[in-house]
Amino acid sequence: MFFLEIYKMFTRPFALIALTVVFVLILLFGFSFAFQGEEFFQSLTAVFGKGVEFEGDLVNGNLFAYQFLQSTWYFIPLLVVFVTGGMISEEKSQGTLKMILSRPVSRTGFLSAKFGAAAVYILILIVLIALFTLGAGLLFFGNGELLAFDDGKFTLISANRALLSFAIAYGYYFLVLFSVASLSLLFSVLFTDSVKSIMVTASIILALYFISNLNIPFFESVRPFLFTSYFSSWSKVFTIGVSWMNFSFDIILLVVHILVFYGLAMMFFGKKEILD
Amino acid sequence: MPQTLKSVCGFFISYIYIINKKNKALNNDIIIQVRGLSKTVDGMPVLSDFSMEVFDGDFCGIIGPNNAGKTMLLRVLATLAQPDKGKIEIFGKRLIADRQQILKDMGVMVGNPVFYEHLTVFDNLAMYAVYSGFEKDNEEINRILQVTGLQETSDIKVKNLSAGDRKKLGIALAVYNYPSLVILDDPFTGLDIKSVVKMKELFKSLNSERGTTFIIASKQLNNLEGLISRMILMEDGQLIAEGKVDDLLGKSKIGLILETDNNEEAVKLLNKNQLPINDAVIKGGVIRLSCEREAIPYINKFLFVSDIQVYMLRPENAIASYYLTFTK
Repeated sequence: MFFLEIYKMFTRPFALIALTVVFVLILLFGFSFAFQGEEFFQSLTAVFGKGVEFEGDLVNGNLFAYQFLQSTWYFIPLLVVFVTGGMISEEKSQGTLKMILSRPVSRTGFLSAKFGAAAVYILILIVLIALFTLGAGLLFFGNGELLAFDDGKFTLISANRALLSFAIAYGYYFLVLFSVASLSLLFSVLFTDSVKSIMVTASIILALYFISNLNIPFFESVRPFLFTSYFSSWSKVFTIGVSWMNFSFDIILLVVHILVFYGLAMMFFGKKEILD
Repeated sequence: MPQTLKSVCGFFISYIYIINKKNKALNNDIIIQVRGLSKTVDGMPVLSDFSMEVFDGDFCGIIGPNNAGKTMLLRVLATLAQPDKGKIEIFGKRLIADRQQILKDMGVMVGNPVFYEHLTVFDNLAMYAVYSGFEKDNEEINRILQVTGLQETSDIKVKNLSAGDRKKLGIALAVYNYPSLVILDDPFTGLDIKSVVKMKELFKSLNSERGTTFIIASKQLNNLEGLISRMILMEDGQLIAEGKVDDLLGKSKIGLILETDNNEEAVKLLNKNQLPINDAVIKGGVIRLSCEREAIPYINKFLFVSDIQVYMLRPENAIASYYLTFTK
């Protein structure tokens, strides 16, 4: 059943469109980096003034992959919502869910297979990003030290350390995207209309993300409970003196959110009646 | 122990044994047992204290007008809807608790069958077969396509199928791999006459040769004529009659249509005579009357001795006539 769900996932036009969109974005990004990488680096390091000089080629594959993550990490979750939001609601509205649930299929097994298929899709998406940004970047723009920048802070990290940081960052990014997919699947269980489920999930994620990043003291107390507050924690691994304790806490919080969304989806799906 | 006491004990033991055996045999025969089933949707009662039994090898027709609760009953049996109240056992197992085990031996088509539009007929069958817990079996898929008359459409994408072929595909899926129990909701709607005949033959052969129990809900009573052996009549979510078709129809009067060489004379004679019939009338160029089932041979004989040639004598849709005597 798991493989059937994966097969169905990849025969959905939107799933393929989303992968194509990411691929095209990487291509466009690659071209702009190839032709205007130096200008970009200069504008990035303009804050240091003319007194600071960088040795070696910092416009390299690591910077390309890092810059891609920095620029798109808030946009990719929305793509995941578009893809996963219809996974169950579409089957419901089209009527195929009725056909499946009148077979000896365990509802728990079916929903778990959907979550599994979403996980595989996200994994493929991340592998695609890693291959075509980091892999292709290192191939075309070369290896070297990475000048990472976040919240106005710059960190220069070695090529070897950058590779390890990317591996951890992609792993964390998987959790971020899977938490988004889990929320999306929960709403997909609740709604029959896939457009509604996608819109509601996207709106909630945007609203929570907005609250997570708004520097207003009123929201400070709720911020730690919002899973969107941990979306950008991947960038922590590109800093010197990473607090692994804090980072592990972020991972645990995301995993807890995934489990809660999965549990709620399971609870509602178990009681779901197919009356259409 | 005195001899008399021994005999009395022996008698009681044998009696208890026979009764137990009889009960066991009876219970084993029951495939579906529904007791006090109630279901409301948005506060409206759809099924109210509904009870029924279906026996092994039955060909059961669920008959009722629109909104009688037929489809909801089938949805509950297919575990697509949950009852608010009531007890349901299928194959002697509790429906909710043993859902998967029960569904393994049950073929279901409730409402309009829906398939993956971008997949071919063959691939859809293969996919649903996997959902049903079977391995992909090309031979079985081809066999089922053959018996349902879909062999020509095997490689056609479902989006290009006609409504009738989609219905046939739904039936093919329901009877895939010979389940013991097949539940079909309005299987004849949308089918052409040739396909209706083919499907009826398929159902009959599965029922007689393999002992498959069928439950068919239909509004098209003429298609159930000669097919079903048991009837469950429903109205407003309630059971209004249940039993073997022969028993139920035997007790009621049935409509009869006659065509003779002299209809006027035949009507006069029939109405004047003491035959147990309701008033015979000429309607639409034929004689229509209602009578007990047992009276039919006497009517034929009577007209023959009265020198009236009978060209045609057939019962009107007996199930429909019977149903109409019950409904509002």
